[in-house]
Amino acid sequence: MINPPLLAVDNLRVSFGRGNEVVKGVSFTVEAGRCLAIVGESGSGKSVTARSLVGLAGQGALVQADRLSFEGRDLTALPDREWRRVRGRHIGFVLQDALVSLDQLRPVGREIAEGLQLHGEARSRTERTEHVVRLLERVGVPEPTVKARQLPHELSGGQRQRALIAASLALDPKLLIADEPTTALDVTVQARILDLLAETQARGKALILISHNLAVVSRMADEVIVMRRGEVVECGAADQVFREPRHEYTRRLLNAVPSMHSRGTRLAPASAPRPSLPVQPAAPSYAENPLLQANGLVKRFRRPDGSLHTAVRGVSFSLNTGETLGIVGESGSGKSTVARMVMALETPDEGEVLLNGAPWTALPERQRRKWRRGISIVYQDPLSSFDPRWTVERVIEDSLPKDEAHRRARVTELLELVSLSNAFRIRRPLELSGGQRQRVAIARAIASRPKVIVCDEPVSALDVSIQAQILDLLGDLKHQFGISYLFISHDLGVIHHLSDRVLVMSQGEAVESGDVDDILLRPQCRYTQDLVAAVPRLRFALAA
Amino acid sequence: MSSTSTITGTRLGFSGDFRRRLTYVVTFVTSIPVSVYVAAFILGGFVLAALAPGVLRTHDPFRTDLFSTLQAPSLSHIFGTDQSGRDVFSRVVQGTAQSMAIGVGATTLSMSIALTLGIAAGLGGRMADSLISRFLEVMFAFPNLFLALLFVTIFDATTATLIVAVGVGTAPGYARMIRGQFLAVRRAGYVEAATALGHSWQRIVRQHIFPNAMRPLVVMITLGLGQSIVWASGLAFLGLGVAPPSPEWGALLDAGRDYVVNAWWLEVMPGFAIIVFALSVTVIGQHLQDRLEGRFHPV
Repeated sequence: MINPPLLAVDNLRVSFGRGNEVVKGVSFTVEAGRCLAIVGESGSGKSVTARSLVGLAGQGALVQADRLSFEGRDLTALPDREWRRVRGRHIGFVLQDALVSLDQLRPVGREIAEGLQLHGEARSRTERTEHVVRLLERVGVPEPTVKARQLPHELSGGQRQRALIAASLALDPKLLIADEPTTALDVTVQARILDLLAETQARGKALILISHNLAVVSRMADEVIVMRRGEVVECGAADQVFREPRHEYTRRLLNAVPSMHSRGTRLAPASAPRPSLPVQPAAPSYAENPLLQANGLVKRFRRPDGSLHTAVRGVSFSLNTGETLGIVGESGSGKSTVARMVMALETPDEGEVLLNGAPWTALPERQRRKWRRGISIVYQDPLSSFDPRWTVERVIEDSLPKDEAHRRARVTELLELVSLSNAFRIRRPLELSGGQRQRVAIARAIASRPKVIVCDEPVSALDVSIQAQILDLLGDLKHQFGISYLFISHDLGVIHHLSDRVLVMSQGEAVESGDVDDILLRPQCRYTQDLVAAVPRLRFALAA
Repeated sequence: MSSTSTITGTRLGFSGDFRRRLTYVVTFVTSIPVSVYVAAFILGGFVLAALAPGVLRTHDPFRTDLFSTLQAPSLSHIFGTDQSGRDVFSRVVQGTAQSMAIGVGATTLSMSIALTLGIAAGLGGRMADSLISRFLEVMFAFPNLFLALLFVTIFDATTATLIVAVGVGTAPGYARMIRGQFLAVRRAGYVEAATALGHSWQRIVRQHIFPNAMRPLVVMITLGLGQSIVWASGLAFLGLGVAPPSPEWGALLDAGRDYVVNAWWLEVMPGFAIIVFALSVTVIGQHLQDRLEGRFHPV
């Protein structure tokens, strides 16, 4: 007799209120020891699908399914109480953001013990403590006895995520659902968390992995479901979906992933033809002075307890006209502080930045002001960089030089350059999507016709297909206007796609720099080697 | 509010033809929640009562009638009558002007003090900030009502003293909120973005910091209006309000206190007026706030 699948879902529908269906009939099965991945961009319904399996679809959600069975037992017919027991005991759920999901005021160990207590496991207190320590040890948290007594904010991001996984493993469930388990983590930490999940799977647990990251999915999944706007556009074995995607959307998603292979190509399908504006060809970069030069930048910050923290220790680099210098590093490596010093928003404690060979950070702000138009910045979070009261038109107009004539026409021209229609002028930042906001931010950045744009993680908060469009746009503008970019990112694929040279930062120091292919394909420094090795890659090359 | 009309103005400027303009006005009007219309209607009633009490009142608010004392609400006296047979509804109507004067006056005064202190602390640098913050902390050491009580005890209880007492008493709280607003907005991303664009500090203060820090003020003011009327009523209830024959709402509450066991309407009706007034002002203020923050858009 064939064993029934561990979990079988047939025609799952979730809606919020009438006519607002966010999941429109999803079916799948999960076998023990297998990994099913659900991929999709924001709003695709992937998280809601996963959450509704454990009854966390959210308030006002109406969940319906033709069949929902676990180990052959029909769950739709179960009374609420029973259902809760099943999912608590047999289905573990790893939440997305560990800092938000863990109770800030409760020791991590107590959080994990709660599940044990609720399900009448490990009755005595000492027994529970021992169990918790064993769990933390198993997920690779160092010093588990100490960490169990600490509060979430005293743990690092990776440790918190491990603690969450430990909590979901506490009752030894047969199925583990992980909703974007590595999204907020650095690549090296992400690699270790994925190892841990793979190891759990190898011990016979089934895994449902929700992710927007195709590389992560290709590393982990046996089966893949691609979702878009609540519908399944494609499903099947992972190697088949990644190698020979049948659906146009899957193909587009895969093409949109920036990497070394995508250098010099467009990531998104070409949309409307771009307006041909007078091209200002880039001056060849043989000038005596580099456009931007940083010499021995040092920045120290005072911690709340009064001690000094050196965020940047002696970083030097130069940026030539028409060139893109990528700065890559993990969180806390000091790369954003470097960006702020280059923008002269932060004064370096030692060293200085030269712009066009002339003093820049050393100038008093009053004198610097008139040169500021030559260098602009695009932030990771454009929303907070816009005055919420202002319309798009006013935001862009505000950054035009004072002597600019035909201001309205120029705003239209800038909007066209970033492929936004004129209808957007009267929108306010809150009425824009993430990608549209970033386009407006770019329009603002190029409005003053700068020579250099500092991009501080400009695509990190965007979905992969939107990210592709923005990267294409940045590439186009570079060719059209000969702009140089100082491009800061934690994503090696993005860096590789866009940069000519790259600088690797770790703990405030520049550990390695040089030509992008040299550094990312043949890294010399140990840290860079680890970083490159940790990057999840699309496991399957797309058939041409 | 003027800011709302500017929004309308710019939007209208974009749509040239009349039909689009009309559609815009219609969507604009229909998009405002019913609660705001109701609140505006009620507030209109209060303003009418304050400006022309004669239109609304049904009886002479000062005429005593010893044959109909302490009558429960009925068709002839919808809010009932008091211990001297005066019509409570007409007295509430008559008192509106004085109560509103106290509310508006006290709010204006306390906001002026609070703005001066709050802006000086929020924009004036570390020295000014710590001086003003310490001063505010000293003020906080006194219970709010104590300041007001002190004031009313020293000077005679007139409308003017009540305004000053309530205005000064509520100012420190607002000052601290305004200071916090300015400090927070100073650190906002758009302020940094404007710095990076090369704008001068004066321009940034004028274009970004001021308008954004002031946004919660609309709600603060509307809440303050209601609150200062409640405060004034509280003082009156303690016997420190405007002298008895005057039908100021707080004074009505104070006068009705002795009869509350067998004539509930003497307390409930003026209290009701205070609550409805405060509520409708707040509903409108909240709506304005949403609109100013860009959270609410008619189209």
